[in-house]
Amino acid sequence: MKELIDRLKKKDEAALKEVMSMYKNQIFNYLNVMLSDKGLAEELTQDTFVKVYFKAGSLRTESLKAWIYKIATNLARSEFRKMKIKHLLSLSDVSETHFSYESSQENEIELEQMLSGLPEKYRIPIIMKEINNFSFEEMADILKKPVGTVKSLVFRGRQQMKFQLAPQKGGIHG
Amino acid sequence: MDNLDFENKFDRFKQDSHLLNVNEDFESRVFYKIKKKKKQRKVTASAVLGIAVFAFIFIGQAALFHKKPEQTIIARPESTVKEEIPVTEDVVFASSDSRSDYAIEQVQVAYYEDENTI
Repeated sequence: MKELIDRLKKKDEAALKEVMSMYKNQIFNYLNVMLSDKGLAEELTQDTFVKVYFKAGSLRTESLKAWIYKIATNLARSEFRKMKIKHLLSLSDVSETHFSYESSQENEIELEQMLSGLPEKYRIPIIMKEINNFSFEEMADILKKPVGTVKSLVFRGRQQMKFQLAPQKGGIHG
Repeated sequence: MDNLDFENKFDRFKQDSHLLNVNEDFESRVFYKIKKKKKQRKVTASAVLGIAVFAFIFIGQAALFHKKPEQTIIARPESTVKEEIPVTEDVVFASSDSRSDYAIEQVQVAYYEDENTI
C-alpha cells in the first residue's frame, strides 16, 4: 500500500487506476446512499479521484481509504450546502412509488427515506457507521471530530431515525 | 420500533442492496477531467506569468521615462513679527476766501551763521 501511495504522490496514472479499481464502487455507493442521486453520486465520485490525483502530494495519513472517504465526504458536504439537497429530497417525492417495490426494495427505500429525512450532521455519521462499517476512530479521522462527538452524533442520528419511523409504523398498524 | 428491528433494517439493506457499479467509461471520464484541469492550470499559470511580465515592463518604463517633478515653491508661513513699513504722507493744505489763496508749502529752513539774519 505504501508503494502505491508513493506512486500516487508521483502522479503515476497507473497507480490512480489501481486506486480507482479498489475504491470507485465503494465511494460511488457511499455517495449514492448519502445523496440518493446516482448521477450526482457518480459525478462526485469522479471528482473525488480527480482530487486524489492532484492532492496525493499532500497525503500524510497512512490510511488511503480514510483519506479518499474524507475527500468524498467533503465533496458531499459542499454539495449539500450548494444545492440544499435536503429540500430536494422531500419524503413526499418518493412515497408514491413506495409500495410498488418488492419487500427488499421496500426496505431499501424506507431506509433511504429515513436517511434523507436526517440532517446532514447525523446522516453522514450514520451512513459511515451503519452501512460502511467504519470504526469510530476512522470516522473521527475522516470527519475531523473527536471520537466522543462522533459517537454522540451516531447515537442522536439513530434516535432521530427511530423517532421518524415511529409515527409511520403506528400509522400502518393503526 | 425496537433496537433490534432498527439494526435489522441496516443489515437487510446491506444484504439486499447489491453494490452498484459505476459506468464503464468512469475511468476515462476521470482522466478527461484531470487533463482538463491540468490545461486550466497551465492557462492560469501562463496568464499570471504574463500579467507579472507586463507589470514589470510597465513599471520599468514608467520609472525610466518619469520626469522629476518641478520644484514647487512652498509659501513660508507668515511671520508673526510684522514688518514696519514707514508711511510718508505729503499733506498739502489749501484754502481760499475768494480774494486770496493760501497754501501750506514745504518750507526749506536755512540756517546761517549770523544769528541776526534769516
